[in-house]
Amino acid sequence: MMDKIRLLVVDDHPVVRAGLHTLLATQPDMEVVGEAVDGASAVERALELQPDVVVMDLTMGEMDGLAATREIVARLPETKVVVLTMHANEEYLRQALQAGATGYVLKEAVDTEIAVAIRVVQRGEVFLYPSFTRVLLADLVQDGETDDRFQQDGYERLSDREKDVLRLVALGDTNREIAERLFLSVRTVETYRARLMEKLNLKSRGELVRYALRRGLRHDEVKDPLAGG
Amino acid sequence: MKTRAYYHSLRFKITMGLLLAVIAVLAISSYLRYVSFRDLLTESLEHSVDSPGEAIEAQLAAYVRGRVILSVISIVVILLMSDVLMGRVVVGRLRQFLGVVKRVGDGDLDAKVVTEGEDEIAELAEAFNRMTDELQRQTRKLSTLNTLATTIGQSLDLSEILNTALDEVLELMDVGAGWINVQDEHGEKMRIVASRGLPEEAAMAHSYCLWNEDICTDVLQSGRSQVFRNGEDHSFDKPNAVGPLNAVEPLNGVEPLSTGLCPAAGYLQEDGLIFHACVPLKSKDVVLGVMSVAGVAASDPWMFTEDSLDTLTAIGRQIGIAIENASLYEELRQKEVLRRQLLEREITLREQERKRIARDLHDQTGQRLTSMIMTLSLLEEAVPAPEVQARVRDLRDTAAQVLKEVRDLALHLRPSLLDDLGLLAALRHYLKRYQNRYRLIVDFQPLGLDGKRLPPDVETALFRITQQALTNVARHAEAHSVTVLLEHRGTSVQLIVEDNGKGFDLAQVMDSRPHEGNLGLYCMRERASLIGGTLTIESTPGRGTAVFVRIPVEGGKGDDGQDSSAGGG
Repeated sequence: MMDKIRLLVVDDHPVVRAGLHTLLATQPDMEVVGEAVDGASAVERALELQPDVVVMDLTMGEMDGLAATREIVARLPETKVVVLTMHANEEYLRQALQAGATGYVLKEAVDTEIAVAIRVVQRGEVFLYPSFTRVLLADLVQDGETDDRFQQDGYERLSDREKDVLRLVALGDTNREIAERLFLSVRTVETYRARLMEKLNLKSRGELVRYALRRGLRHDEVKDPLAGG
Repeated sequence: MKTRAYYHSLRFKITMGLLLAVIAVLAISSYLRYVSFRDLLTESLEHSVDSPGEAIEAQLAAYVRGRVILSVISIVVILLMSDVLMGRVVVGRLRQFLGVVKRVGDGDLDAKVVTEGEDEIAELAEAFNRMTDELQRQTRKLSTLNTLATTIGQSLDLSEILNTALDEVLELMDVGAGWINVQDEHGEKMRIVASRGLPEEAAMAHSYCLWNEDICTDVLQSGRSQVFRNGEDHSFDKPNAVGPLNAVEPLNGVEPLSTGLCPAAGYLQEDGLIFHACVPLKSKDVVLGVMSVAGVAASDPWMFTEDSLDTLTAIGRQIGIAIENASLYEELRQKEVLRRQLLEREITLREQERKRIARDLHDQTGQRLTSMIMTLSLLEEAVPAPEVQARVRDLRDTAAQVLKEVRDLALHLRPSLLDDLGLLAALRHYLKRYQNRYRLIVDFQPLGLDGKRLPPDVETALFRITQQALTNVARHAEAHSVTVLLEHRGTSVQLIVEDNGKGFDLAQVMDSRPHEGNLGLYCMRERASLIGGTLTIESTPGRGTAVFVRIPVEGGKGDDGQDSSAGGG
């Protein structure tokens, strides 16, 4: 029989640690070799025990599960980290992955997934809570879509006034502010803006801002004679 | 009368002069005629001796007739000429007078009629000059009053109002000393809050009990203006009360006080106090204070008239109203400060409370449920009976469901993300949920915020404002898409939430008092202003709505030029 997977369990709640201990003890191929109650002691125990996998809670009083993960992964390249958390959202997931964790398990699914996750990361693969994979994929697809839109460019077809309005809208000025700066009426500014967005095929302020960024228009603000010192 | 006498004497002189001249001419011509007539007479006497008497008679008659006609014509001519000359002299002066009247009428009060002689015209001219002088004085007074009203009306700062008013009054009245007393908040003492021309100890030490029997106290209590002059004091219970100032009798049945000067004026007695006038500073019949002016012999030889008291009383009323306005404004300001403090406290407390409950749900309830899930899961495998196993399985699933709900509840109360990972992460997450829930396209564009954390109160406020703005979009805008821009540039953070919905008439919604329909907008604005920011809303029916929030933050860690780094490229 092969060596058991050596585990370090890190959670600030005794009930959870105890539960994990019991749960993982039923797995024939696993062995909990140590526990830690916060990030700092986790790093310490990990360096000392050199476990194969660390089961890491993210929120422990002050949230140092991420810092601990970063530190452990950096100092013990062979050790893998599975994050076990209540946070069912991709912001934490993103952070955890950036910190170097390769597994992400929600506490509501701890009983069914933690053992699987431990085995997967132990093999050097990644285990994510299944619904997240969909979210990540959606992100990827969406980003690709938005990027393509700017290929065709009608900037040269804009009048000088429309260019001014474009730049100021992109800088976040209100219509009233733009009107005052360009000595136009608010209504005229609205019209210019609607027209330039149509010419450039921009659908929202967000797209307009990104267009201006790509074109480097927002940096023109220094050259604007009306902007003052 | 003098004019008429003068006119007569003038006419007499001119007539006499002309008569003398004519008489001289007549005398010479008579003599010459006489000489020629004598020759003629001698000749005819020599030639006709037949009837010498008849010839002489005829000649004489012709001579006399000629004389009479000549004389009458001369007198008529003389009378006509004297009238013309008289007219010239009188009309000329009147014309000059008229010219001056016209100039005065056009506003040139410096124009003066030249007065010479002692006739009626000269008298009239003098009277006219006096009138323009008076007019000039009144105009000056009115313009000073106007300046005063404008100056004190413009300010809402009490000390500024009183000092300005006092300066203006002293200039207008042309006196050297003046001071303003107001009651203290307990209504027991008066103290000087502004003074000019008082010895320092008088201005400093002047705080005295209201039951003093001096005219300042009396004015404060009775609301009547009073003048103390030459050792006597005189009351006027209304500004236009008539009566000579030195009258000892009470006016309109009001008994004048037999008391003395107020303490501050007492300090001026050594310098030869001539008068001390006290007027109430009233607003809506409530006396808020007393203004005094005092003249001393050395520097103010000018006498205080009843007219001056009227003016002073009128000024007192204006100052009274200004004081009232200033104190109302101050009250309002303090209430606003208090309101803001309470609101800030309320918001802070609510956030803290939500944070605490969210943490508790997360840490306590969440962990216990986690432990329960694990235990139930183990139990499920441990029990042999399939029936019991299924029951345990259900329990385990219920626990997992409750855990999810607790997590959502905590998130709803206050996302731990906001504290743990910052505004950007919290917004990204919130927007994703929002987009799924309301089926709206959300375009989120953060700029210049990568890896940066803003002050916690700014992050919380911006998160809550975004939530509120997006809730409004979902509820009212009927929009298909909404853009959320969050940019940190230089020393400020700007948040823009813009939808493509139906928009609304901003003036109509925001001008009305807060009600359920616009309360959300007011809340957002308050929230922004509590952390020193501004919130602007632009909306046009049919063109969507944009909410702009700008919050000043400590100048970020330098790299402003990097704000394009978050762009699509």
